[in-house]
Amino acid sequence: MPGERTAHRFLDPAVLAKLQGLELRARRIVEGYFAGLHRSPFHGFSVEFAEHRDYAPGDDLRYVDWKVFGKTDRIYLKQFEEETNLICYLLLDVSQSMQYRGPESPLSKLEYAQCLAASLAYLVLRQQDSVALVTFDDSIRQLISPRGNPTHLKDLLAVMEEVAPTGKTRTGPIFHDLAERLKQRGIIVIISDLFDDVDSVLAGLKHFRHRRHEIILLHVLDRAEREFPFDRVTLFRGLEQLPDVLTDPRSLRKAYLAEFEAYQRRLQAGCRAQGADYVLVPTDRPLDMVLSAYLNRRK
Amino acid sequence: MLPLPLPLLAFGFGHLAMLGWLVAAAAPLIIHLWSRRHHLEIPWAAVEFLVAALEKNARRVQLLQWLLLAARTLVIILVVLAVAEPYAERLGLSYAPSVRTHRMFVLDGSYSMGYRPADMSLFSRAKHLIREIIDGSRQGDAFTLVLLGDPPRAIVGHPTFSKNDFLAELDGITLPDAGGDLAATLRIVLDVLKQVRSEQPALDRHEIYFVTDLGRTTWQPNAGSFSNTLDSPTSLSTGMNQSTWEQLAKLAELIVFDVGLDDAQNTAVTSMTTSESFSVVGRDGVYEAAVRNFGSQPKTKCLVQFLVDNMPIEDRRIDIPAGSEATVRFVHRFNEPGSHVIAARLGNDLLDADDTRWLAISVQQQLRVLCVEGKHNAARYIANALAPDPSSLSMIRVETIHESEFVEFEIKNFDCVFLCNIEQLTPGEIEEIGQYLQQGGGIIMFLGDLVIPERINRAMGSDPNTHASSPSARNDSDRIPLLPVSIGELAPESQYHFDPLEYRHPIIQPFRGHEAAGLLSTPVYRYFRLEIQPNMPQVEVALALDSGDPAIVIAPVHQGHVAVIATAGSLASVDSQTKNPWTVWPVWPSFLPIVRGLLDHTIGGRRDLHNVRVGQPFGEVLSGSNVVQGDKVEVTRPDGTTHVVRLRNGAGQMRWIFEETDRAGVYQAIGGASPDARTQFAVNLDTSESDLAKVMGSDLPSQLTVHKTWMGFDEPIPISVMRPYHIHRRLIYLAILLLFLESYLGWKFGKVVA
Repeated sequence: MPGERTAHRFLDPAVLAKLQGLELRARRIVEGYFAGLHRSPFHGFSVEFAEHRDYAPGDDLRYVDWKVFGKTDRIYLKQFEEETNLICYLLLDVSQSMQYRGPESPLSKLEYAQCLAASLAYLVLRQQDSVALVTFDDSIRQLISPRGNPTHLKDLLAVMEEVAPTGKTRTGPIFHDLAERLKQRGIIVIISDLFDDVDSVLAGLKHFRHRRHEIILLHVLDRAEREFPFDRVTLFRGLEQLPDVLTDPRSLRKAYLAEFEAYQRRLQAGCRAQGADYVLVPTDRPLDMVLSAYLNRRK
Repeated sequence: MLPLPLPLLAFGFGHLAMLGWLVAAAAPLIIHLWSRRHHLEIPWAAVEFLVAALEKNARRVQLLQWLLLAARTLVIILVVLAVAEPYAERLGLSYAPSVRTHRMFVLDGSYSMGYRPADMSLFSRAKHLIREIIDGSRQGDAFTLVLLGDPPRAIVGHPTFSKNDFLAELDGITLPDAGGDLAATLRIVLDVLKQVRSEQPALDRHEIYFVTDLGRTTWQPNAGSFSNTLDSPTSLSTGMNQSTWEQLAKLAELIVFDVGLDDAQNTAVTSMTTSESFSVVGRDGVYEAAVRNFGSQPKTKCLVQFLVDNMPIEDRRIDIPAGSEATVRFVHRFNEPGSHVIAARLGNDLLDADDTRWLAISVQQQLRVLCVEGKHNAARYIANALAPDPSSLSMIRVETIHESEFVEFEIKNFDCVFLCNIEQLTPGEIEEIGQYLQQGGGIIMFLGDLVIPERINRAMGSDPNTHASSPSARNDSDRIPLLPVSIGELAPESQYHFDPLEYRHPIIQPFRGHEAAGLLSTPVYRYFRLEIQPNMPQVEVALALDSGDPAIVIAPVHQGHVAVIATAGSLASVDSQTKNPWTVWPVWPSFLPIVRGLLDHTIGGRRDLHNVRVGQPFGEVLSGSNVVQGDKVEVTRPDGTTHVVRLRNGAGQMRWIFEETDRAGVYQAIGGASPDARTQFAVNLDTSESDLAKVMGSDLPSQLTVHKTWMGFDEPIPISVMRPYHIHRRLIYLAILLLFLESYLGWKFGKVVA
C-alpha cells in the first residue's frame, strides 16, 4: 500500500526512500477510471471539484485549496474532473535470457527487473494511479488488470514471485496481442533485455503507439553482456534454446561488442522513431539511481 | 682421442639427448587442446551476437590461432635446436647442411715453436690441434694452410675438400729454422682468402685459425728487447698490418689458438766469431761464443761445448744472469789446411734450434797477397810490412808483379791484392777486380805519382759522368762503383799529419794510448783529395789528414772490401817539381801496423761468404780451364739430404748457388773445380726468435679472438672452441623474433574487429 512499508524482497526500503517525491506522470493524454494527476481525453463530464489530496512538492499551486489551508493549516490540492488517473502497464519479460547474472552483478536481470517493476508499481500506486502487470516470454504468462487499490501491490508482487522462467522471448507477437487487449490508453513500461528480433520488437512498439500508449522501454542488460570481459576459452551455453558456442572470447570480443552495439543502436533509433523512451538499465547500477535519473529527466 | 669440446652454452643440456626436448614443441598444441577441453562453461543469453561475430570472423580467428600456435611451437623448436646444435654438429647431424665453411690454418713456423716443454713440441701440438679441428669439420668444408715463416709459404694455397689430402700435407711439414714474417704472411693469407672467395663462391663462411705461440718477436717485432737483425719492424696495430687485419676481419672470422707458454725459459748461442781475420796452419786462433739467457731465471753451470769439425774439443760451464749475455772463448790451432767448422753447443735446453752455432773458416797453409806496382819498388815497403821474413814459414806469402803483368794473373787465388801507384787499369783488369770482389776478395789501393785520377775514376766506375755509359756495366750490380771514393785533385805540397779521428776505427784503435808510436808524427807531403761516393753505404773514413781530407777510406763492395789510401805506400812516389817523396810513411813506425790492419780488415769477405743466415743462399765463383758450365756440385744439407746444383755462367763467371738453406747447420759442397775438395758452409739462425716472450693480449688487434689451449704440460689440449658453422645464434635470434611476433599476434588476437 502506498505510504506503507512493504516487507518484500523486491522492494528495498532504502531504494523506496530515495524515490520519495518522485512521480511517474504521463506525458500524453491517458484514459483513467477516475480523477487523477493526468489529463483526461474526456471533457464536460465534470469540471467541479471532486476531492482533495495531499500536496506534494512540485504540484501546481493553482490547485491549492486555500480555504482548507486557512482552516486547517494543511495544504490540499483540489482535484477536478478533467484530471484522470494513470494506468501503467508493466510488461515484465520473464524469459530464460532474463535469468542471466554476470560474474560481477549482484542480481540476475530478472531479479533486477522484478525489483524495478515492484518499485514502479509502488510509485504508481503511491500517486494513486492504477497499475497493471503482464509477464511474458514466448506468450503472455500472467496479466493482472489495472487497479489503483493500494492492496493491489501485494497481488502484483505475488505474481512476480511465482515467475518461473522457461520460455523464449517472442516480443513481437506478444506486443501485438497486448496492443489489441489494452484498450485504455496509458503508459506501457516494458522491462526486458529484448534479446529478440529488433524489427519484431519495433513492430510491436509501433502497434502500441498506434493505440496511443506512451511507451517506456527499460532495457535491462548485464555488464558482462555489454563488455564481454571473458579471457579464457569458454563454452557459452545458449539460453532460450540457442546453440552452445565454444570459443576463445579474446578473439571475438571486439566483434561481439560491435554486434551488440549495432543492435543497441538500432533499438535506440527505433524507439526514438516511435517516440518511446529508451532507458538502458545496467544491472550493476543501483536501482534508485536508474529510476531517479530517468524520472527526474522525464519531468 | 681428445675429449669432446666443453659445452658452448651455459645452459647446455649435456649431450645429444637434449634433442629429445623437441617433444616439448608439442606443448603449445597440447595446451591448446587441453584448454579447449578444460574450458569455462557459463550460460549465456546474448548468444546470437556471439554467433554473428563468430560467423563473420571465423576464418580470420582460425588463421590467427594457427599462426599463434605455430609461433609458439616454433619458438620451442628453435631454442632446442640452438642448444643442441654443437652436439649435433659433432655427430654430423647438422641441420644447417647448406652452410659450407672454408677454414684456413696459419701455422706458426718460427723456430720458437720447436720449444719442447713436455714430450711434444709446440709445433707438434699445433699440428695436433689442427688435426682435431679438421676431424671435427663436416663434409663439404674446404681447407687451406699457410706457414707463418720467413719467408712464409702457402702450403695448401688452393682449397682442398679432402681431409686426408690436407692432413697428408700437414704431416709433411717440418719446422724450419727461421723466424716469422707476420706482415708477409698476412699478405699471403689475404691473397689466398681472396682467391678462395672468388673461385669457390659456394663456400658461405670463412674462418682463419692462427695456431701460434704468440711470440713477441713475430707478432710485435718492434717491441722486442733483443732484436739484432730485424730488417723491417712492423707494429701489429699500425700501418700495413692494421689495414690487413681490417681487410681480413671483413672477409673472415679470425681466431687465434695460443699454444705458447707464459714464462718459457730459453738460452741460445747468439754468435760464434773469431778475432782473427784469417786462419793459417799452425797459428793459434781465438774463437768466441756469445750465450744469452732470454729467460727470467738465472742459469747456473750452463754447459757450453766447443766442437771442431763436429768433434768435441772443450767443455765450459758458465753462469748467466737472467736476461744477460755471457761470452766464452777458447783457443785452437789447426794443423791441416782446408775447410773447417767450429761450433759452440749448449747443454740441456728446451729449444734445440738455437743451442748450436757454427763458424765455417778456411784454413790456409799461407795467406797469399798480391802486390801490383805501377813503378819499381812501389810495393816494396808494403811487401816488407806484410812478410818481413820471406821464407816459406811466414804466415803471409807476398808476390809482387808489375802493373803490366796484372792481366795475366788469376787474382782469385790471392786473399788480398794491393794496387800500388797504378797508373790506369784496363777493362779486362777492371772486370777481373769486379769478379774478385764478388768472390769476397780484398783490394787495397795506395795512390802515388803515377795515378791519373780521371782514368782510375772512369775505369773503377767512380766517375758519375762516365759510369752510366761504361761498356762494362752489364747489370745493376756491375754499375756499383768499385771504389768507395772518387779520386780528386792533388793537394798542394805541404807537410800534413794524420788525424786519428779519435781512434774510432779498428785499424787505428791499436794506436790509442800510444801517441809516441809515430802515427801522429807521420809526415805526408802530397796526397790526392778523396771524395766519398754519396750513394755507397757503409763507407768508413778510418784515418784522416789534419787538412780534413780522408787519408784511408774503407767500404764493402760486392762481397769483398776495398780500401783506398790517399797517399803513396812507398818512397818511390815523388813530387814532379821538388822531387821530394810524397811521404816517408813507409819507413815510419806507424806504417806496418796499419798495413797489417788494412789486410785484416779487407780479407774477411770470403769468410762471410761461407757463413750465412738461414734463408740466405751461398755458393762459389769458380774459375780455371777445367771448370765447365753444367758441372755438378753436390751439396749435403744438415739433415743428410743431398742436392745437386749445376755451374752456371753468369756475368762472365762460372758460379753455383745453393738456395735451400731453410735449416741451420753445416752444409758441405763437393765438386766443381776440384771434385775431391770439400767446402763447408755454416748456416746460422737469426736468434731474435729465441726470445720466447709473448705478445701482450692488449697489443693484439681487436679483430682477433684468442683462445689459450695449453694450460699445463701434462694436460690434454682442451679445444674449447670448435668453429664449425654455428647457427645457434641465429636460431636464438629467430626465437626472440618469434616471441615478439607471438606477443603481437596475441595482442592482435584480442583486437579482431569484424
